[in-house]
Amino acid sequence: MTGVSPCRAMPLAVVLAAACTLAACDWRSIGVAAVGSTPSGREASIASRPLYLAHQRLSSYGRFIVLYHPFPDPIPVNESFDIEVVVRDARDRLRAVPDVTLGINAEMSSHSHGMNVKPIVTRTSPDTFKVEGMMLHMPGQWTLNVDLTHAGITERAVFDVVLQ
Amino acid sequence: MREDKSFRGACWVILILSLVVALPAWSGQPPFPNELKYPNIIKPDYQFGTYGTKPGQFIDPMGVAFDTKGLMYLVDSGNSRVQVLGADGTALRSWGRNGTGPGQFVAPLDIAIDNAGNLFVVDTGNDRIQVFGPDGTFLRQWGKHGSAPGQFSNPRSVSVGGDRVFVADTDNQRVQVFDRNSRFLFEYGSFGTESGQFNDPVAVTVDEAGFSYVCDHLNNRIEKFDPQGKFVDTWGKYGSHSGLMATPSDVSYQGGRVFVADLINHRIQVFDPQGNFLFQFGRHPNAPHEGNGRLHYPHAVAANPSGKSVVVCEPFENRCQVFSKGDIQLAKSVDDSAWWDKATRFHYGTTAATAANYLCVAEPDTHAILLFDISQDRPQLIRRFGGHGDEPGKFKSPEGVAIDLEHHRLFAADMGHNRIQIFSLEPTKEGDYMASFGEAGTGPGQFHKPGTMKLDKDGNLYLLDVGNSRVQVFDKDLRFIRAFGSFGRGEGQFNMPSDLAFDRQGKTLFVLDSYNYRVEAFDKDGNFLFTWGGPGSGNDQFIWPYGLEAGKDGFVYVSDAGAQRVQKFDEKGRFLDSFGSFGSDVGQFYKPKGIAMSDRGILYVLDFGNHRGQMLDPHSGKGRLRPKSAGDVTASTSGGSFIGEWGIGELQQMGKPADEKPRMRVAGLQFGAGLAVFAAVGLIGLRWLRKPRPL
Amino acid sequence: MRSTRIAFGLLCLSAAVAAWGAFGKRGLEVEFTPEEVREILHHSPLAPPPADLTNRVADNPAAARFGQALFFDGRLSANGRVACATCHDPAWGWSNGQRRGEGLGITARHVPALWNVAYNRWYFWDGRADSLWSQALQPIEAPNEIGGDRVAIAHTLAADPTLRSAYEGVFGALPDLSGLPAHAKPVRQVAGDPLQAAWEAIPGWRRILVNRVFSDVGKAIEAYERRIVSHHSPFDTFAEGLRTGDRAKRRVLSISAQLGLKLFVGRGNCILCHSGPNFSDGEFHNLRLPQDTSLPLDTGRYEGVRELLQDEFNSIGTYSDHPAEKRIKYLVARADSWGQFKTPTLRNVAQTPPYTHDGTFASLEEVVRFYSTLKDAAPMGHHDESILKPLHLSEQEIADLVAFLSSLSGEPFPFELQRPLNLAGRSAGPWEAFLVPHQPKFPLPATRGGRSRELRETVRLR
Repeated sequence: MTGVSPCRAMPLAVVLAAACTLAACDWRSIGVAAVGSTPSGREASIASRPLYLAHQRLSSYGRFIVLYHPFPDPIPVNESFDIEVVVRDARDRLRAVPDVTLGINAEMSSHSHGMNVKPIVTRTSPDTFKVEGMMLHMPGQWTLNVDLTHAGITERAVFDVVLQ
Repeated sequence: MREDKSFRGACWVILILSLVVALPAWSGQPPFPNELKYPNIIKPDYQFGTYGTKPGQFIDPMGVAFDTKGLMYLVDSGNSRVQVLGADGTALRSWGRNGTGPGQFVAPLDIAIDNAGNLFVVDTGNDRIQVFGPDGTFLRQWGKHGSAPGQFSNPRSVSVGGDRVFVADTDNQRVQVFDRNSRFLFEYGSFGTESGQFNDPVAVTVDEAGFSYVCDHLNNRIEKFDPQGKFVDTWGKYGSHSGLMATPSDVSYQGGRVFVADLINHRIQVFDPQGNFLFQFGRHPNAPHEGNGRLHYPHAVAANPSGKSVVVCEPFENRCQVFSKGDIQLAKSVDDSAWWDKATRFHYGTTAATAANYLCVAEPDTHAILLFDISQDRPQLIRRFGGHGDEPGKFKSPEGVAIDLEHHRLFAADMGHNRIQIFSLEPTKEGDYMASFGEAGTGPGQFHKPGTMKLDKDGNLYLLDVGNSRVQVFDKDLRFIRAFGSFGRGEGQFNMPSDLAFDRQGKTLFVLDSYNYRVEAFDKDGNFLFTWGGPGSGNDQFIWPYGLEAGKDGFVYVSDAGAQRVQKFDEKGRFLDSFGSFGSDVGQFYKPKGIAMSDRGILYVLDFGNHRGQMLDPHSGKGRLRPKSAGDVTASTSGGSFIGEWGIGELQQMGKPADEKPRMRVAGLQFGAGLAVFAAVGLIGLRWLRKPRPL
Repeated sequence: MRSTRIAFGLLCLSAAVAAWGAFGKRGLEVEFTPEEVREILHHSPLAPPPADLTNRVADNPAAARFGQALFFDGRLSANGRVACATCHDPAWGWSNGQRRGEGLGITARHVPALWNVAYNRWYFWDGRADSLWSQALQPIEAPNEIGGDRVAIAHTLAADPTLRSAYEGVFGALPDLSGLPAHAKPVRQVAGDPLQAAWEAIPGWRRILVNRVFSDVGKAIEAYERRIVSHHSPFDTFAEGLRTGDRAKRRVLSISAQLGLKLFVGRGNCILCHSGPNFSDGEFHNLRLPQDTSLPLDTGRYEGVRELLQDEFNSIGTYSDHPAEKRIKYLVARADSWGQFKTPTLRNVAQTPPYTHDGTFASLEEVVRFYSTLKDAAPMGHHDESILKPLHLSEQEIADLVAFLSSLSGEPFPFELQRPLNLAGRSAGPWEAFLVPHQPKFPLPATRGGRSRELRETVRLR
């Protein structure tokens, strides 16, 4: 390359190299690595909340211990299933609680939707409820909210389920 | 030299070329949603009304009706009067003033006109209907507070069909039907969600056949009844698509068309008498006070009996827009989710509470509760929770909030379900549902429209049971302790109490009794102590008192959503100062509602109409005041400065989801790369243009 | 000179990097993580269709033969020339290759393809039928589709000895039809319709008998349609290869298709809705498709639930063979099902353009591009489900996904199941004679414009 001054050629080569490297990268995906809005408080809170995957826990106001069994277990995606829920007094775990009523629903908070079905709840024994007709129609993380009403106060036991 | 010049010139050319080529990459920004694709903004024929007290000006025009000559009768609620206007808004005459006598009103909300031109006005604050002749002469009145036939509780709408008068008796959850001489005929409806039941029936209209259509506000639907009051049909569910509604506030029938003011969707929807959706018009404004077919909380709608026009009143904007029927029918049906352009904005609600570093706001528009951290300059949102629904944890119109630091929990009043909900304030669990209690009724632990709440120093919860005109007290285990108060104007009585707070020592409870335009003071057991206030715009008077705060610095603050200001009193009720005026700049208000003072003495005012909150330090400026004891006022108290506002920043991001940010970054890379490549190629090419230097 | 060599070296280096970027990264084989493998194996193999207890002849071969004959028979229609196959044309993937169906009139929505229709839980784009046999009945009577009526069909079955014996061989004797009008059916939306009046003039007990014959027609058609299954595709071979470690089987999918599969179960999040071996959850979602405001609104699932619960032929109705069926026992109408439509299967999807209930996209590439950019997407309601986020795929990734989707096309379908069946055994005349001829309009018009004028003349389905 006659006439090309070496000092001029160097920066040119660097620029060309940079341009070719950029062309080689799939640059449309570079920005996407940072995708996602700045987490709003709500999303941050959900993300940081630990998942409660166990099948037994204390209800939110502390009066009951709640245990659930799905049938079948594990819970299938997009198929109807039933749940058996056992509710006992938190202070005396062998004692059932008369006059407690149960409601249940499920939601996928990251998608802002619930189930497309309304299950039917029947009481089968002083401490057991049968919930028929649940269906979690998408894979991912769902939250089951079991609402228990007793003596005018309604409290909740929250369970998380991750469906593959 | 020539080479240098041509080299420089060539460089510029190449640079410009690179820009031109790279620009298309940069312009790959997503376009703002195209207005023209949603052609349901119809230009009104007339648009008129501004805030004020002169003829032709309004303060909260809440109801409207046309007479057979095309004149408009407008209920100018904040001015306690009825105005008669021409079709283009020219003020013709008006009558009425605040009071309880004949021809006087307290918060009148609706009007209807019979065949003879007589005017039926719903005088809501006085729980009665007044009848006037076409020229405004008082003829008669009937009704008083109560639940028997012929009595009313917060009646909000009237409609005349043939020789029958239908009244939506909202807090009694029923519609009453009278003949034109005010004799009670029958009633229908009760509280609930089944067909034929209501949760706040706020409007009623009648068609030619005598079928009535009732706007069931908190059930988000319209219900239709036959001339005997038997349920016939219903349509509507909560939502923003066509045919769905969000707390509709008015309904009007004319010529086979049912017009529904779909309040929180900021639009009017039109159905046929069988409930089939026909078309809709109106959208939430882009810019403040926009108008011109944009609707902002269209509270009332009325169709001209001539069939030629429709008027929509927006009390929020103190304005009315008149649309021609021909134009609105051209509005093409659109799958228009009316909420998108306000999704990122707060709609600061009506009540606020602070404790330590928390500020909590109830947002009835979206049925949500917002929790902020106020340890920094501006409130930072921690969590938004709730939302519309019936399950525990969801709300139908959340009204009051209170923070219980000791037990790490937050109380929120779910007005539409007549229950109180409790959420956790444990770190990382803020906003998680804990428990709820309460049901509809008048007994202990039962509520009728629970409103604002406060905790006393012992952790007991004082709750305003608004519809039952009383205060209920619960202990920290949610056990009922006592209740006090009843409906009325006398000492210790209430009419639409809207807020409450304790004094600094925690021994005196102040209750803001809004329809009686006063503050009442009680001891903790509910014994009446003293009162101050009165209707009016003077220093110690109120127009529409909304929020009350006390207990942090020895003073009592009242926000007046009708006078657009915050007043400051000492704990004996002596007026000291007033902040703010009507407007949207810093230091101005439009419908200031909830107020709360932080432990640091900053007053947070929910400037509802301006879609923002403002922070105010009532003690800065000259005469910084710290009384040595309650009631000891020794220095001038004027002063106080506005520190700032929050919530308004979100306006600028309106409509642009955050997903677009990465694309900008990517486009930037493309731009840079394109530039670099072309610059490099150009510069190399230039090398060959230059004459080779002699070696 | 030294600097020149350095510069030259840099240039070579950059050229090498460019080459690596273009070819090297993609390699010769795609590695899948254990999670991806587990997810992939959830989608294959496809088991036989679930039983339909509401139809006692769902798997009866004689009923299937009868159903196949009916499927291609124009005599069900008002003018004798429209059959199910007019719109569900086997040559066009059991759809018709166009944005709308053309029977006697034009349909309100795109014709759904019938591949693997037996696996559906709900039928129609809005799920207003809950069994395949009750679905078949609606187009038969719809005035803009086949336009027949149940009484005339009963008469047709009775009058033709071949059809009659085929029917009676499966369902038993036809009821006595003497004295019934030639044409009658319930017509819900139109007051004063003569067919509705004729239907109401028939005594109740005879109406039930006619309805039973009508439902049997649907059940026979279902028995035939249950056989329209696509299950063994190159993807299934690949999945077998993953399961057994057989590398040869893995190579039936091109690298591009494998990368597309990786996206499908990974970043693309496609499996949130296109889940399971049939690549569909059978439920309903709102894709926020671009709106054409010149067309009437389509509320989708929202109205669909209401109509299903009022359908006399639903799974808990009189004509169901299993009224204890639990299908709709727990179903609830929700406001957020407004504008939601059923997730279609992706098996054989490459054969069935255009796509979506509206026929919005003319090619798979356009579909994937929409998911990538959400350009012109309708705004989301405040309370709607918020699943969709733009994927920002590169051109290569879009091509990879399309390649994968094309690999879901199954083995060729038996020819004898794709043509009219002549029950009498004699050679049938060209079946096109029974059908309204339609010209495939290729190339398909762009998604907007194009057919808008014709679509504005759409006869509403309801």
